[in-house]
Amino acid sequence: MNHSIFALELCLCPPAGNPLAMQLGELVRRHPATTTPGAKWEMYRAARQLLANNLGYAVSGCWDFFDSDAKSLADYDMWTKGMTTEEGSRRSPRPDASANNMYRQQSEAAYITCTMSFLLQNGSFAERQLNNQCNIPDDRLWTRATFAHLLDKLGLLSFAVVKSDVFYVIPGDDRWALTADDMRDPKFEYLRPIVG
Amino acid sequence: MSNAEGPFTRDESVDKPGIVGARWWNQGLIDEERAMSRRKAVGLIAVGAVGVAVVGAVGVGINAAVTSAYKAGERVALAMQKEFGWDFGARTVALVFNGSTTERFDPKRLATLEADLAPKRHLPWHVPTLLQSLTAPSKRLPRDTSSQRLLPAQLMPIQTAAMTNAYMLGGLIGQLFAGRGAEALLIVDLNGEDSIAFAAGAANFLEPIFGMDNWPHPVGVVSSHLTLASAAYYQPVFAEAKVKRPESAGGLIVLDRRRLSAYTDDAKHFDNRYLAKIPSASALKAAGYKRVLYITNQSTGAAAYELDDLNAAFVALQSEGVEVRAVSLDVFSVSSGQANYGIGGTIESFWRDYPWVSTTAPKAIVNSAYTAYTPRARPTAFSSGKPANFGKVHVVTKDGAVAGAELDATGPWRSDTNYQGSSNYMVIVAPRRSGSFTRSSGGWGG
Repeated sequence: MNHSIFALELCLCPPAGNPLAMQLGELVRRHPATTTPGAKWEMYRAARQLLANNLGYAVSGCWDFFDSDAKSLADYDMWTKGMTTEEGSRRSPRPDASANNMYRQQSEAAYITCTMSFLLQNGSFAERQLNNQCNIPDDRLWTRATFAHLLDKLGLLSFAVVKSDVFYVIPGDDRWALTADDMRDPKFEYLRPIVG
Repeated sequence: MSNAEGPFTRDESVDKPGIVGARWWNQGLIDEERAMSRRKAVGLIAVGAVGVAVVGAVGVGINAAVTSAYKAGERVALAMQKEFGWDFGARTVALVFNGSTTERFDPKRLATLEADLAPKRHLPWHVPTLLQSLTAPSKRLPRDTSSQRLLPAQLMPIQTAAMTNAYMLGGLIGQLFAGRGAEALLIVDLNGEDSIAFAAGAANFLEPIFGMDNWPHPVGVVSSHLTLASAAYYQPVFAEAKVKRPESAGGLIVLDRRRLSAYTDDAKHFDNRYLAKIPSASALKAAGYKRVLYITNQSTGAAAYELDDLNAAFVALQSEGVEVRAVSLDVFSVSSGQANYGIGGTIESFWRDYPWVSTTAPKAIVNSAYTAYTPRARPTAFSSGKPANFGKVHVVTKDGAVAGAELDATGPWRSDTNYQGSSNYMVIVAPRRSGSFTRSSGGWGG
């Protein structure tokens, strides 16, 4: 079997009290250890809807579609390591988070990231449809409208042709949301500013 | 929530304050891949004189010929809905309503919606298709184990400001024509939910004749569920008016001008468009009508002429001696409790521009685009009848039977590598890399 890969990561900065990170995290926590393609599609439909509804808070992101077998396998391993090594997450709560201050100050921006990656069966009808939808002109690669388009068209993907999927959210607890300083770390340079 | 059914199995997970996530593997796909590898290894595959090995489609098995059991096809959209359910191909997509009402609603009363809205005197001209969608039975696709969603359970009545305004105007127009002997059949052509509201406002004076010839669909091009939701809201009004209205009341054909919504064939929408049906000149005359008044609303962007599917019919009526006129609702208003037509006129001033009833009211100032309207033949997409792909849906067949709608994201053909799909949906582009160089371009570590 040859493989393709689709991956998407968004970094958002929602206002204080916005439950997006918690809602996305709950989707993962509540998704069973063994599941069906239909249930998988429903989980990602909910995730796509949450992200689409909050796309106005997106500040940066990246996405990929590759149909080279070797590249797909290598990249999928890389996306997985992003979760298993916890590379992007904080090692401690935010400085402004404490037991007596459950909610961050309004002036302190809090960033969350949501990452999803799919290792696909290359050549399947659904994979080819998704490939087609990823044919974005270079001058529109990082627009908000493009991310909205991709989140929408991901609904065309049948999980019968998904060999593996990985989904993770930073943070798991609002008090560990990333700070502006965290986002300036070179390890996040791959995230492109979203325009439009 | 637990689900012991596979084939996806989680092998990695993390749930910490800093990050929460998991990875799953599709064991079914992995097993298929291993099975194919084993067959290749023992040389069981040989095709043709040159003995070239061919890898067959996953889930289909190893075939000598690279073909799919699934074929692309096209069917009449309404027929598919009547056969396989109103939400054919989109069983998990919810209807979206744009208005809300806090009034109490009993879904059980939807069982009589069709009967409550059916006309008496004008029954032969009535098109009950949309109203029948609530109670019509349908069968299921083979192997479809999803829960069947009944349309009445998905419907909720709506009320919007535009509907309220249309209801008021319907009452104005209805009273204007009631018992005046204008011998005019009225046709209201607004957004579906507003046309319904207009008809409800006029229902005590004019008998509504519904002309919505489609079913709602979760991703329908025509948002007929809004029309149905408006009908559900005004159902008590229609039911009561049906009893009180004089048997001799004039008719009001009720149309949804979204029936011809712009649509480019794509995999995302369901083409539930339809054409309006208008009585012939002979039928109108036999029923005592000498003229037709076409009602739209220019302030919503409607042009000062009929929708494309009505052009030929209106031209034919005019040529056969049935006068066809048009009016925009934005010339009517209410101020200080008084209904007015145009500027400087009372509601009765309407008859100065449409002299079907004698009046002494003053002449009002109105936009002549409507008062001067007469139907003129013009080329439209419907000049030679219904276009070939109008109101059709792309389907997938297997062994000659419909297996599903191609827009269905969960259809089994999506895992068939040999399925080609509809040419309209599959714009084949050269494989290319899209997107960014991601984290793989630089070293990173924990």
